Amino acid sequence: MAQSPSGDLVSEAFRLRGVLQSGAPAVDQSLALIPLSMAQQWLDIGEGVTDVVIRVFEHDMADGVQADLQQHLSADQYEVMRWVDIDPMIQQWTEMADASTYFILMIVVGIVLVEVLNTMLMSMHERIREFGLMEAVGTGKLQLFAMMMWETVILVMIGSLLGYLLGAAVSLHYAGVGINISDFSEAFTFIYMDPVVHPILTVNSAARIIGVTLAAALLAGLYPAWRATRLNPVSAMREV
Amino acid sequence: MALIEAKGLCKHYQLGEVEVAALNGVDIDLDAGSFAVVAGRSGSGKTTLLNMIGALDMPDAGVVRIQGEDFLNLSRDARAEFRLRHIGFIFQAYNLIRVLSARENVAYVLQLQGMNKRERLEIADGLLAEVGLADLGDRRPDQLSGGQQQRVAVARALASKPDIVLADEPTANLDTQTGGELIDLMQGLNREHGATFLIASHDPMVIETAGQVVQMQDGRIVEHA
Ligand SMILES: Nc1ncnc2c1ncn2[C@@H]1O[C@H](COP(=O)(O)OP(=O)(O)O)[C@@H](O)[C@H]1O
Ligand SMILES: [Mg+2]
Repeated sequence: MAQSPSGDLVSEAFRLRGVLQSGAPAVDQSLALIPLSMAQQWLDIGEGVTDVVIRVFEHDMADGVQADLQQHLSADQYEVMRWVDIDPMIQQWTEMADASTYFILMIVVGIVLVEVLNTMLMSMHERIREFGLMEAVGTGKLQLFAMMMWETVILVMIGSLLGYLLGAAVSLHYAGVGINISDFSEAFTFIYMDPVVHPILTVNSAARIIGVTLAAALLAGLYPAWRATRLNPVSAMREV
Repeated sequence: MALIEAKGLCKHYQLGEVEVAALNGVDIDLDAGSFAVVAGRSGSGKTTLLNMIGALDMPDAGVVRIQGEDFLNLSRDARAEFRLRHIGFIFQAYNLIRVLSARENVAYVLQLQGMNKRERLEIADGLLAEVGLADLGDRRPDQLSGGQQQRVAVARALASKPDIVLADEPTANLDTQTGGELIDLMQGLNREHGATFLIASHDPMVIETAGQVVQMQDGRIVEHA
């Protein structure tokens, strides 16, 4: 049953062809999809439509398209709205997702700092005698420092390479099969979205995380390297 | 001029409340080509003396000159450089870098001197042959016996063509026979190549072989023969 533009109450019977399951009850219980031509006939509006949805390729293109359309369409007949105008919640939601990504990144950086610091300090501690010996036979402070920093870089490079291969494999796998989040769909009742999300692996996000972890690792490597240069060869060699 | 001149060396350590005089006014002269042993019981100051002569540690008073050069006013890095040019070290144990093969250990000091890889490995192989380890150059320290490790240390100590080799209890961790062989090796290198050795040891077998014995007691030299 529906109200036509002329104000008449019209009704029509349709044959059910399938049931759409978005996972979001609000959508599933209130939305029925019918072909456009049928709707036009039923409501007696000829070729008329009430809404036109334009899908752009990238989020950022929405503003430009809106401005263009507003220029070409008279304002008292057409309302041109971006997706964020229709539902500001969505924007907040994506901003929150970005914020949580940064938060996770910070945690990762923290873990990298602590782990590298711990590993390199232990590795230095294990080799106190060896550093003492190296200095005794003529190794300079700068050479010891550089050696420790190189070890840190190599450790982190191997670690990030392995981690990255693993992460990319997981990411690509789920990009293919998708992640079914319909169990959490209650949380998204305010929007209609596909309950299966597909992660995207971008060079940008990969470069960002590698850059950040490498920087964090180098930072964490400074202290053990500095400590190695502070060892006194005589007491280092006495160390049991 | 003596190769090594040490005058009035003093070194005190603070052990809690007590002050230990590890060296208490030591004079010593050594000529190039000597094979000298610093003898004396444990705690008499042998290691401290060698550390002073080897520019590893600084005396509280006194001076050490090696070929007329002293290192008292040098920075830490400059002293490392000084050791690289003048001194070869053999310690009681843990002489070698674990992750490097025997030849890389010997070549390491040459690398510090800036020698290219082919040349320094060639010299290392020559020295390893000289200490009787011609076929073991590719082994890592943990794949060598204690005696073999000390031989690698001897080769490493000679690699930089130092003015003097300082050996601190080189035989202490070896059995009698292996220790004897190591001493024979060092004596041979002294006789044939004129390498100068100063060895700290309380091992009677080592003292017997010495051309010159410096007897220490409580931080002083009590006998010089
Ligand atoms: N770093 C140090 N701190 C405190 N005391 C030390 C230190 N090094 C040596 N000593 C003391 O100095 C004395 C001489 O030690 P050392 O030169 O090692 O003798 P040796 O090599 O003949 O056994 C000993 O009493 C030792 O305890
Ligand atoms: Mg000693």
